[in-house]
Formats: sequence, structure tokens, C-alpha cells
Amino acid sequence: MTDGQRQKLLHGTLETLVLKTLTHGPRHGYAIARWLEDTTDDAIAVEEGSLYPALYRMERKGLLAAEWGRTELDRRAKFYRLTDEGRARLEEEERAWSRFSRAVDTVLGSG
Amino acid sequence: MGVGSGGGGPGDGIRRRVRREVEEELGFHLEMRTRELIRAGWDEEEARAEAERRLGDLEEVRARMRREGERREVGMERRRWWDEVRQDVGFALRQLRAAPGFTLVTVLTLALAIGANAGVFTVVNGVLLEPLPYDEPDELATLLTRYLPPSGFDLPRFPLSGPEFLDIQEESQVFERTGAFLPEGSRTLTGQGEEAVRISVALVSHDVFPVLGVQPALGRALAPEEDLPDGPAAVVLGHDLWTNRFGGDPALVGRTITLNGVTHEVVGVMPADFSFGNDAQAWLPLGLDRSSAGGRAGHGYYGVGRLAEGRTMADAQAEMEVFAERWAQEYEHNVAHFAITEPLRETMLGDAPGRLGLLLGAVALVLLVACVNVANLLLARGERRGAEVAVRVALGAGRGRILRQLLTESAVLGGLAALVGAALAWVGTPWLVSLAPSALPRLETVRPDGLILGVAAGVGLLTVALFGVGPAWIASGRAVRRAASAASKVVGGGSRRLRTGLVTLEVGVSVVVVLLAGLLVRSYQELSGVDRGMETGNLLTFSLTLPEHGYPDGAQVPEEYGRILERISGLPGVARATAGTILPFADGVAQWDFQLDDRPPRQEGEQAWNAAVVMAMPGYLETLGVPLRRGRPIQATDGPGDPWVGVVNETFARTYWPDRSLDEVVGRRWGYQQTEDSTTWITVVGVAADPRQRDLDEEPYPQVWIPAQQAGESSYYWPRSLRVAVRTGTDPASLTEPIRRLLVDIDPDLPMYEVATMEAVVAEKLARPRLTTSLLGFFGLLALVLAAVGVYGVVSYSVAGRTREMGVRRALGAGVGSVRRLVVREGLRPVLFGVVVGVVGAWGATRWVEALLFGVEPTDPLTFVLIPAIFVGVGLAASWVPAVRATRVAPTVALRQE
Repeated sequence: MTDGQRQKLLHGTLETLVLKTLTHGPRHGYAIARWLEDTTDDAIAVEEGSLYPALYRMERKGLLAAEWGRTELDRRAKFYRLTDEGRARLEEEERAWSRFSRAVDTVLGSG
Repeated sequence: MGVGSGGGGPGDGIRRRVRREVEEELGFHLEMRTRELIRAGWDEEEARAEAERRLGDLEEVRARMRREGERREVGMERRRWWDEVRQDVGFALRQLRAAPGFTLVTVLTLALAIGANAGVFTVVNGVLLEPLPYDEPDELATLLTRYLPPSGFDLPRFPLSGPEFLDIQEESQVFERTGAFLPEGSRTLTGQGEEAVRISVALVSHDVFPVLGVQPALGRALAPEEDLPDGPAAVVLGHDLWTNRFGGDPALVGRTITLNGVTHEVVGVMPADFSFGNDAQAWLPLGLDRSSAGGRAGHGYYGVGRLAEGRTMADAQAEMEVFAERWAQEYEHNVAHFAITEPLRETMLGDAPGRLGLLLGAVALVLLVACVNVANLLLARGERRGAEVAVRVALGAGRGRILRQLLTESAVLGGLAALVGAALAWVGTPWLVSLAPSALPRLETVRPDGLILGVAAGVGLLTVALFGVGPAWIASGRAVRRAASAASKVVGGGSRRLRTGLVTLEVGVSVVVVLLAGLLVRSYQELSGVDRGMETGNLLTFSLTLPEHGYPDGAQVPEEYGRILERISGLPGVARATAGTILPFADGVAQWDFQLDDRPPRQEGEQAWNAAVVMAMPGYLETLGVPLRRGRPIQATDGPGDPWVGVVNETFARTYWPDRSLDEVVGRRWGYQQTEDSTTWITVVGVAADPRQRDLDEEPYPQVWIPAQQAGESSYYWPRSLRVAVRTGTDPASLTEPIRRLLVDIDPDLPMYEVATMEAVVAEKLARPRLTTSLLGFFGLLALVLAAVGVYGVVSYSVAGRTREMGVRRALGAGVGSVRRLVVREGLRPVLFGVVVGVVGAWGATRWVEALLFGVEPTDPLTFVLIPAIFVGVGLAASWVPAVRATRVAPTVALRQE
């Protein structure tokens, strides 16, 4: 596996996680980072440095939309939310993942 | 694209905006993280450092975010830009739908002009720009002579003699390789259980195919040993003949076919797009060498050569002049022949570049007129819409936005016109080609293709630039000024002057086109009215060739033809029938040098007297309807044993016996030197009128008719192929089938070919000028109509804006007549200016058409008076209608108008 492929795989996973995070409603970047830390523990180490470029990329691709708003503490922050496209992508990824994991289960179970 | 700069990097604005966004977002993140760490008990300094550390390489993160952000912004701007374009187009379409009259006139005007341009350009491309179907065709040259016989005629493309060609072939330094050919010939193809057909062939030396650089698609080209005077009979077939007659059977190569009763081996088949010679369907070896070349006076061969590496056409011409000089010194008969060379392209295209250049120029001018017309309509429309546009400015649209909207409207008009124009050209070009496929070389290969769409789109874009930008600029500027000023009405004096100026330009350009068209029409009239020297109506012509087998030779050939002609004359509807080696309006007549009985024999180096010689069956002149001026015609009683006689044409008599009356010419003799020491003396028994020989636009040259029965003694003079003319009492074409049946009845191997009524032959001669003339005439008419529409539009618009002024004038006592005169005078002024400009312009442009004119001076007074008069008349009419309308409004009503 080359670096490029690994990167791509990680991006794909990170993007799926971000999409999942936003199903609960709009969040700013820091909130997304915190949610990823809390939910994934150390099983998947998300480097914070990859998160923001990923958010920008997803916004460019139209998976996310963003607008500037106020936090509870009345701080200006950029809030991301899912677009219809993003939602569709997430469903696709989930289906693909469950197919993949069922296949792995079958292999491991029968072994 | 004005905004977002599609291909390039993002602009400074985007860069700054994205940088701020990235900094603010990262700042927020760091602040939140630091706060959280402090809450967890970290020291403030350390917390800040830890927050940054967790983000990783901050500079790289920033750079990646910026890159993505900038790409996002560029994409958004582009989408916005397209949205606006879509919006503008939608708006323009709604506006145009609201003004259907304006839209229809504009689109139609432009579409006609665009279609004409696309069509003419397609023809130009097919005829002139497509390379000839040979390898590196620019290196190919034709070798020929220019023949200036003492009779004063100029035959610019005369063949070389065999020895001359061989001299060039052996000695030329300029040509890498040369080949000789005869472009025209025909053979009877028999066999395959089908009716015999006559096919056109060209005779080529084996060098010709390698010189052209074209390989056969099947088999091989002619071999050197086949190209000998007694070589094995071989033939290379053209693709069409191979497909149509032999079903495209590849196994035909190596087998034999029968031509003129002789079996020929088919050695190859040429590719589909190959052509060489006049409509040749097959190529036969020429068999030219020193033994078969004949004398230096027998000019019968053309050459084609490929320039050696680094040599030019100028080098070739210089070398030709050296040859010509040498031959003139060594051999006396060459005095009147000048060896020349020209690019093969020129030989093949003839005057097509001149004609097409003229048409291209004319359609470009028509396009200009159309653009000016539409610009004028747009200017007027812009003024009428001034208020609406000003409102949009007041609502916050900048000049740029307004300009773009107006330009979009023009672009939509141009786009629609380009679509309609391309459709017109797509349908019109093949129709045009089918009208006169032989009017230009290679015209039959012209097909509409993607080029039409390309040209239509390109020309459409150009027209938008020509007619759209100016009016849009003016209208948007006026709207901005108007929005800024309190005045509710801005008087468009400058704009009116501009529109009047445009009418002057439009009329001027139209006058040029119509004048040139007028000259061609006059020339065409002259040409078709030329005295043909014969009666071309009710005459059917065709060719016959006696097969070599089963028929006698020599003197009996004319007798055999006499019997055939007699049977034809017996058919119902036939008045009489005759035949000769050539009929009027055809090329390829034999030329003889001779001496005159009352003049000392020509001296060494002196010019020989010369004439075209036709061997004719009895009744030749009477059947063709050539009037006899003096003496008697050729009669059946002029037998082979009698002293030779001949009938000469008036040009012969006047050229060679200028001091004698026609009566005195009868009885004179001229001598033809058959061999070194035997001269045949021929007595003039009659003088006939001058039937045209090759073309309508060529002055007749000296010609004699000799009885076939007398010349028939030698098959050298008397070929087996003859042209037959049948004078009919009814439609000559209706006799084709009865004659064909009769001939099949006489002998199935006696095909009737090259069948055409004489009227059709003459029409063919007129086809080329007719195509040019009718097209240019059509473009001229288009220009005239457009100019009339332009004048009418400007005058009626100006009148409509001055209803009140007219009312005041009439209230103050001006009569209806004087107001009308005022309007007409104003309308006519730019027309008169335009006519003057146009006449001066056309005067300068006549050199474009000079070479195409026949019997008409380029400054033909009739044309130069009539056409300007027509324009003035049209201008008068176009101003008169609005003038009448202006005075129809009662003064009181007019005064009440705002």
C-alpha cells in the first residue's frame, strides 16, 4: 500500500466520521473535534491537523455547507451542517461499510 | 470571462477573504482548546502551546485549508457568473419575444448573411483550400506551351510536342521526375454480357503515378515495360469504374477487360479520392518514346513534374525559357511556341480563385451591410428603451451589468441567426452544387460538414462584435447619464447623426456589391447574346466510334459513316444528320500549318500560316445551320479521286487574304505539306460564317472544313471516332432513344456516347459565369433590400420622434407638401452620400471583376448610371412612406403629444 492510498483511505474514513457527527445538527470545527475524541477514544486516532483541511475540502465538494454564527458563549464561529449530498454520501458509506464488515465476519467466523 | 477567471489562479480578493476565514477559524479552535486545558488544570502558557502542538504542523494545515478554501470560492464565483449569464439569456429571450417584429427582421437579416458566408466558405474550402489528392501537391507543376500563332490568337495552355517533352524529361535539372499525359480520351468497354459503354480515359506515362506520389489501392501502377509503343496492353482502373461496373471485385486485378476490342490486363485500382485527367475513369499507358514521339510540330502532350529538393516554380519557369530559346534556334516551327510551366493547382483550378474570391468579398460586404442594419435597429431600440434601462440603473445596476445584459441580447440574436444561417447553408450548399456541378472544378466534391457550423458560429460571433458592442455601449452610457440627470428626456442628437452615418456606410457598401453584380449581369447578357455563327436549337449531338474489328479501314470509314448517317436521317423527326471530327463548342481541334498560293513559301524561321482543320461529312455546315457567305458547301460528289477542296470561315479569309474580297477568295488555293517533298493543294470552294469553336468568349480563329471522303484516304487524318449532329423537327433529346435503338440494331458494339443537345453544350459553356453571376446577383439583391430596410427604418424612426415638430411646422403654416419634402430631403441625404461613396469604391473595386468580364468595360456607363439611379429611387420610396405617414396626423393631435 502506497502513501497515497493510505492517505486516501484515512480521508475517506475521516470524512465518513465527520458526516456522521453532523447528523445530530450543525456544529463548529472545535465541537466536531471534541466529538471525534470522545466517541472514537484511541481506536481511531484522528489527527486534529487533518480535520480542518478535510472540512474545507468537504465544503468545496458540496458535502457540507457552512455559515458563521454565534456560540453559546457569544463567540463568532463557523458552523458546518450536512447538505443533501452529504447525507446521501453518508448513507452510501454506511451501506458499503456494513457489506464489508458482514463479509469480514463471514470470513473470520468460518475460519 | 470577466469574473472568477476560470482557468487562472484566484484573484487577490478571494485570497484575502480565505486567509481571514482560516485565521479566524483556527484562532477559535486554539482558544477553545486552551480554555479547556486550563479548566483541566494546565498553566496558561503551557495550555496554549499544547493546543498548537495538537494541531500538528500549523503552517501546513493553514496552507491546505487555504488551498481548499480558494478552490471553493473560485468555483462559487464561476457558478454565480453562469447563473447571471443564464439569467441574462432568459431575460433577453423574454425581451425578444416581446418584440417579435424586431426579432424576426434582425435574425432573418443576419441569418441570410451568415448563411451566405458559411455556404460560400464551404465551397471555397472544397474547391480551393482542400489540397489536391496527391503527395505534396505544391511541388507539382504542369509542363505545357503557350501558343501564339501568326493568326494573332493566344492559346495559353497548349500541349508540348513529344520530342519537346522528352528533351525536358531527359535534361531537366529542376524537376526530380516528370511524366507525360493526354488528359482526354475514350474507349469502348465491352464484355461481361453487358451493353458496350464508352468510358473516359487518360493516357499516362508510367512516371505519372510516382510523380503524383499516389499508390494504387489495389495491385500496382503501370510498369515501364507496359509503357512502350508496343508494350503489353495494361490498364489501371478508377475506383468508381471498378465499383460500378465490376462490383468492386478485388479478384479483377490480374484479369483482363476488353477496351476497343483489345484485351487489357487490369494491373491496379486507384483509391476512391484519386482523380487525374478530365473525368478519367481509367488510365492507360501512353507509350511515348523517341521512336513514337512524332515530329516537333505535332503538339499533343502535356507533362507533369515534381520539383527537385529546394527548387521553386520560378526555377522551373527559368529552365523552360532556356528550353524554348534553344528549340527556337534549332527548329524553325517552334517560333510561336513558348514552353511554360505552372503549378498543377493552377492548371486544375483555372479562374476559380478569381470567381470565388469575388463571391467571398461580396458576401463579406453583405454581412457588413447586415451588421450595420442590425446595429441601426439596436440603436433605435436602445433609445426607445431608454426609460426602462434608466430605471434598472436607478435600482442599482451598474453600467457593466447593463452593458452585459444588452450584449447578451445581441449574443442571443447572433446565436439564433447563426443557427438559422447554418441551417440555410446546410440545405442551400448542396442545392447550389446540384444546380451546376461542373461550374467550378471539384465542385461536385463539396459537401456540407462541420465547417458550416464552425463558420456560422465564428461569423455569428463576429457579427455580435460588429453590431452589438457599439449600440450596447451607447445605450448603457446614456442610461447612466439619464439616471443621474433630472431631465426626463435626453435628446439623442449625436445618436441620430451616428445612425445617419451608418445609413451612408450601408448604402455605400451595398452600391459596391450591386454595381459589381450589375457588371457581371451585363457581361453575362453579352456572352449569352454572342453570335454563335450557327443554329444551336433542335440539334442533338453525340459521338460514335467504329470498332476496329469487323469494319474496313482508311477511305471506307467515311463511306461506312455515310451509311449510318443515312439510316439516322431516315428516322421520323430527323431532318438531316451529319458528322465531323469535331463540332462547335468543343476543344481538341487539329491545327495545320500551310502555305498560300499567292504568297512566296515561308522562309526559314518565318511564321507558318495556320488554321484549325475539321474533316466533315457532306451536309455538315447545312445541318449545323452555319450560313454560307460565298461559293458552295461540301458535297457528296467531292470524291476521293478529285482534287482536294475546302470551305474556309470568314476569319480565315479576312486574316490571310485581307486585301481580297470574299468573291476573290473562292478559287484560291492553300497547300499542306504532307511530307518533305509532297504538298497537297486545297482549293477554296466556299466561305462560311464563323461558328464559335471552343468557347463563347473566344474570338473565332481561322478554320477550314475538308470533305471527309477526300481526307479518308489516310487514317492519319481520318479517325474512327466522329461527332455526329442531328437536326430535328422536334425536341432533340426525344430522339436519343430511337437513335440508340437504331445503332444497337446496326451493331451492339457501336455505343452512342457523349450525348447532349447543342443547347445543353452551350449552356454548359455558360454554367461557370452563370453560377457566379446569379450568386453575385442574389447577394446584390440582398444588399439592396437591406439598404432599403435600413433607410426606411431610420427615416420612420426619426419621423416618429418628431411628430410634435411636424405639428408645429404645420400649425405655423407649412403645407403638407413642404413637410413631406423636408422629411424626404433628410432621408435622401445619407443615401446620396452613400451612393457617391459606393460609386467611388466600386470604381476602385472593378479590377476584381475585370478578368471575368466579357464585352463590357469595367466602367460600363449603363451600369454606373442605372444602379445609382435605382438606389436613389429606393431611397426616395423608403423616405416617402414615413413622410406621408408623418403628415397624416392632424396638427392639433401632434401638438398635444408630449
